[in-house]
Amino acid sequence: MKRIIRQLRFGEFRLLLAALLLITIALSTVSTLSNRMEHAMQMRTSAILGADAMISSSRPLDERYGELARDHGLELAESISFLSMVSTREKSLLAGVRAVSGNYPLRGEIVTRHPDASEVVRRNRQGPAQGEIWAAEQIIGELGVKTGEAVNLGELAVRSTGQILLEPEGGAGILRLAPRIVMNIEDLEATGLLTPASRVRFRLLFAGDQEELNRFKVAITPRLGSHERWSDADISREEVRSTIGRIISYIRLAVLLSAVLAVVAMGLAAHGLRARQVNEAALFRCLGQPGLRAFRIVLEPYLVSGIPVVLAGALIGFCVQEAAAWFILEAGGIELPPASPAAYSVIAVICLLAYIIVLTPVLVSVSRVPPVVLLREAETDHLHNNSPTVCSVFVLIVLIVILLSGDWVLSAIVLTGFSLCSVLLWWGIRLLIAFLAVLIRPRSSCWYIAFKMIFSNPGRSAWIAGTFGIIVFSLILLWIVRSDIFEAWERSLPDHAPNLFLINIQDSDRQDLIRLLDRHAITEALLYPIIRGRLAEINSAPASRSVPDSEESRHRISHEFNMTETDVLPRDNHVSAGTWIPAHGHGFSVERETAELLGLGLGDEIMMDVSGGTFKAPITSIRDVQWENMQSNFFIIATPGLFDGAPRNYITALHVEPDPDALSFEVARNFPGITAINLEMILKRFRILIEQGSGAVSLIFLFALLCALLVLAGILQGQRSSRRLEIALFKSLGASGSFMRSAVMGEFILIGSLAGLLGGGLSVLTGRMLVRHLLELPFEVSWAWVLVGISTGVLVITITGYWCVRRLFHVAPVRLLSLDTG
Amino acid sequence: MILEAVDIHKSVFMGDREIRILSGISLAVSAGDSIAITGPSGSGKTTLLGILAGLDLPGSGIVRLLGQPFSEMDENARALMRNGKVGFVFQSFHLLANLTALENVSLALEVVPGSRDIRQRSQHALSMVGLADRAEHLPSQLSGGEQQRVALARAMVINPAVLFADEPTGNLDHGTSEMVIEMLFSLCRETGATLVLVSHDTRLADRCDSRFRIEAGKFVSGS
Repeated sequence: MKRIIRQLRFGEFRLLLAALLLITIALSTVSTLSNRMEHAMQMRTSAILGADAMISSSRPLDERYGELARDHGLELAESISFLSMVSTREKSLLAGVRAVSGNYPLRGEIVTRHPDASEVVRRNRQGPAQGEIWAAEQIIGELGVKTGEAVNLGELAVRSTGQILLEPEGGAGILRLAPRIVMNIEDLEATGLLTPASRVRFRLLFAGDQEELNRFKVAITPRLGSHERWSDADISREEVRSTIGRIISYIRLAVLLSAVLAVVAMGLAAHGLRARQVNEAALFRCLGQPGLRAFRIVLEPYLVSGIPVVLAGALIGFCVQEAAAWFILEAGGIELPPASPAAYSVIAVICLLAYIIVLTPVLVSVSRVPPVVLLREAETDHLHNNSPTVCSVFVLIVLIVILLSGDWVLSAIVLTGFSLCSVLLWWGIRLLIAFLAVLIRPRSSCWYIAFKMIFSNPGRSAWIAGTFGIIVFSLILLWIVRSDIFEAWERSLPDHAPNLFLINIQDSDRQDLIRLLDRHAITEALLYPIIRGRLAEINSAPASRSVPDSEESRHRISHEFNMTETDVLPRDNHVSAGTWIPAHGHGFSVERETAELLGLGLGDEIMMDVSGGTFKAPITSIRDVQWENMQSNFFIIATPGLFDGAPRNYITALHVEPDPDALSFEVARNFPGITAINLEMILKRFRILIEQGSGAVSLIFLFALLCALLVLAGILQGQRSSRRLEIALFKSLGASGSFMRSAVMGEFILIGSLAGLLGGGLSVLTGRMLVRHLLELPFEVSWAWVLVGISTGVLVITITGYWCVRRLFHVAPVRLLSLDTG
Repeated sequence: MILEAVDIHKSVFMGDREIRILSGISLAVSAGDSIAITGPSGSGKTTLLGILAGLDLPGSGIVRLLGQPFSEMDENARALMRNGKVGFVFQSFHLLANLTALENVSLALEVVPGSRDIRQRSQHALSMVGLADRAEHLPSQLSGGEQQRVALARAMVINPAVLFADEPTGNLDHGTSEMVIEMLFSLCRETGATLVLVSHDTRLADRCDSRFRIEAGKFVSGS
């Protein structure tokens, strides 16, 4: 303990431990947080599905599937869906009935409220009891059912005890045609509704350990018949996946930068400590300590203090990620799985390893130092060679980039980019200094000295300006990306984002509906036709044989696409290739990710099968779709008239204030066939998600900033001796303390300007590329960021630099010129 | 003899070229004696001091310190032999920058197994060099002369049998040198330590019982 306290008197040691603490916090925060967020997305997808996976079929499912699932330790639930009339004495209505087992849903919940539309909301993790049903608001509104009142389902009278607000498969069911009823499966037989001729969907739902689930999937897939289909939680709502995915990408990017900066700071600190520790080890050997003991005495404080620092870092990381997770997800109403203690242990071990790797040059030098170096100091000259430190830092950066990105190719790209930027900045600053040296002849003696100090030490100036240039570059980029993410979300979710979807609008109802909307002062409703069809052929070959061989692509073509016809490019859609409206003839516009998934390109002729009719046309454009905008979005859009004769209904997305409830009731009353979906709850969650996400992301940004300051402090600490000598020389020649302060601050201002100018410029140039390819955001960047870079560079370098050398200005030159033992 | 060297040779190689540093050096030092090795820069005197103290090995020849022929021992065995018996004073002081004067002195005792009363003995050593009131100061807060006195206290606190000093006044001004020289000799006299020093300083060399002048790796005179 005594030795640790003694070592803490070294600025380099404190810097080393601070960097270790920050890297542990950064890594434990990001790895745990992003894992939890990914799990949360998985859980949310599971919640949408009502399970982790399911098998569905148009025929009753083999009982052996259930037995096999139980053998794998999986939980089971059952649901049977079909269309049926639901009635009271006065009225009847077509409903989508889902009969569920008592333990349905296995994941997620069915959110209901009192049928009298009170504000009491219940989150049910089990289906309705026997003799009860929960029904969609249209059914309750249309049939005028009150609490506990009976409705008839076939031969059975059941009581309505809840109004469905949200339910599993709600996402997929957003375009389902009939309003929903959920009933207990035990009542099904008594209804007498199911006959061999009934059109029914049978589902067997599974939940449990992911590995067991994977094994079960492998075992069951070969046994499935052509009418049976496996689905699992790999496809979520595009909006949420896109939003959370971007937060994760951003956090990874920010933490990657923080970790890299922390490693650089650790490297700088370790390099500064190397010469000191080698001397110390030599002294211990002189005093009669055998090599191993001297080695142990010198390095014990490092290793012993590293462990509590890593533990503290992991603990702080836990708190930070808990806070960030709460900000991002829980406040947005998204359930999070608990953090795994094992993840923290792994991170702690990784950070300790990183610490040891960065200390390796010190360890090697200390283990090899002969005591005679105390007599012949020239023998320690090799210790000023920084190649071992650079190598260890580089190895660590490579390992961290691979660890965080989990992708060799991406790691190679990031490392190459980073190295290229570093080289560019380094030489850019060297050239700029050389250019300024020729160009500038300052008259003020203070600025003259400042320039002289830069021009006479171009390497030293380039080192600090280059490193800080990289930091400015990274921080600005991070800030731009952060701002752009939230601006994009803000843009996509304006105050008037749609909060009510009306679907299943028949052609005959269109005019009446428009008139009703007019009465509510809604005049700009866009009614899109919805045509549902499968992709049958690509360039005259069956689609099943033409798409790339992947589970997702097979899954996609086995389902019907929601398509529309329009000649007006929908809001937040951008044509990334081709022409929106072809010069002549018909054409399809395909969403970019879908096109990539299915291997579709411009000019490919695709044939869609819509209820048995076929419609063929070439792909004339590829679109980027902003899924977060909550508008009606489509994977495939056809030119008007292409689907002539195909069955269709219409959809519209409306913004209704203050709450769309009243309008949706009125629509349900006047148009029994139209389904109104109130998105207000989802929108509220989404807004909270964005607002809180902004706070959490700013928190992560703070890490990067702290790490940057550590790096700067490390560099300035390393340059302290040479500055000490310079100040001493000028003072011995008669310069006053205040004159030297002005000159040194002038030097820092100039270096800060150079760093900011090049760092800011580079960030503007590369930002567009990074944001487009990594975060997939449309990007507009202003050159004003260069000014921001210059101001940041000047401010940070001047303040930090001054702080590091402030004590040297008033020390007598004779003291400054004495051996540097401080 | 407490220290004996017989026919010491030492060479270094610069590429293929052999540079002879020491050629056939022999000397013997009795317990309690003081000897000075003088000579111009590059004559090999510091190399000889390193070999005599067991910090370095000769190319050939035998060195016996405290009766043990350590020239055949490995580095660890030589270190154990020095432990608690040999003190050093260096030209550049080699104080640990993060330790106070008192902690620097204590260090020499802390590495000797079974040391007791470390703090009191260290304080006593500091007061012997006149720095009792600077015990809590860091090296950066001390002048060059004060730092060398702390180094002297660190060397003497273990009551060494032999004290090796490499240019102990090399970094000090005239007045300070006088004070350090005086302390060095009086402390060795009080404790009975043998003193082997290397110096350019004739005042220092003149105070020793014996003087050896080395040039181009050979003794050219001795008394």
